[in-house]
Amino acid sequence: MRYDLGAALVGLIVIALGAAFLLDALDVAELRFEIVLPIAAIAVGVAVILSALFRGRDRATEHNTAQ
Amino acid sequence: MTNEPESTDPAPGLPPEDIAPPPTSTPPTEPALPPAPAAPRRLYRSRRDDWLGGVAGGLADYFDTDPTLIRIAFVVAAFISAGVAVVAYVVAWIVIPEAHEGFTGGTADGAPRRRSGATGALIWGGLLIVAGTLVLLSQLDLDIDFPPWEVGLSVALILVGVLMLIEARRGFNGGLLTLAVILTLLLGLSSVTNFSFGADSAFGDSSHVVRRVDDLEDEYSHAFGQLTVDLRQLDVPQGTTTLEMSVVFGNGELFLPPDIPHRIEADSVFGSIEGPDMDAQGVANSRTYTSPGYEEAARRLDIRMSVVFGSGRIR
Repeated sequence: MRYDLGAALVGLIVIALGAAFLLDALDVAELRFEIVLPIAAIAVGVAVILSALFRGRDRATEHNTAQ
Repeated sequence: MTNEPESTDPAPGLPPEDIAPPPTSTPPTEPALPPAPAAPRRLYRSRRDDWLGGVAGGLADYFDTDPTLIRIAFVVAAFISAGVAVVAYVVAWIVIPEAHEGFTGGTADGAPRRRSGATGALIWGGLLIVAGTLVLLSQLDLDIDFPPWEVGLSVALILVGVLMLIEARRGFNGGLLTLAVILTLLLGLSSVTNFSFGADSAFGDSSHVVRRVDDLEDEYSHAFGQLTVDLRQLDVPQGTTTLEMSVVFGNGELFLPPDIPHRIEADSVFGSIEGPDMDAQGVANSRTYTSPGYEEAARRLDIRMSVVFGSGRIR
């Protein structure tokens, strides 16, 4: 089965968000989450759409190969 | 060769399901073998009871109990452990393998043997012990500085991301995405509003009339009820006196001392805060009000009020 790059990208974004929250909670860095969170939401949205597009392309390729 | 006729219906008149199968002939010479040892019990994440990764369902299968009880215990543990149990759940999701198709719990006959179930149980049990110990220590009057709950939830969010990377080979995992969104919302709310979910008090009314500055606390927080802080009789000392007040699922009321210049920072999430020349309300809103003469005042007040799911009023 093909590795889902969109899901992997969302995973990376979630890890980055978690690291940012951790740095903020430990007072290592002060981040403006009013800016960070909307950007993260946009990035996750793009990743979800890309993942769906990749899946559709894979299905089409498998269908053509089967024929 | 015999001349007996062959019979196709061994019991005429009986339905087929009531007919006993013909006896099988076993060689009488072989002694009976001892029963085979039972296959070891394995811990897997359940596919049948899969709300959030199937961890609770898998534990219920393993311990032969009701998964609802496991879920209730986990929710209670998540609250009292300030998020440590969430980390434990995510780790369990990572380390406990998923059951194969058709696995109904109990033994592991035919189940995938990616990891030892004992290892998963040890890690899960060990994390519960650590979480319980941390909560127990926090209840004792020991001089230990525990990290804020935001640290625990941040670590949980990172682990969820790692799990999403691992699960990406099977596509999107909706449960993980939901968990990540919930954790992000909690952490984002806390960060944007500077609100701490570790309230000093909860349920009912909490009222504080402060007359001396020695009695004034840095922060007053309350959940599920009314919080009132009355500073009208407070003799404000020289310099800047700071005060934080936070309310979740409730109402907060702050009475300011007369004729003392002040600055108010108000944050509301799904709530409202009313004050002098300010009105913060909506999904997420921040307002700052500075009274005349604040900058040059010798005695002044710095107030920060946060309200989540409730209302605040400053008079």
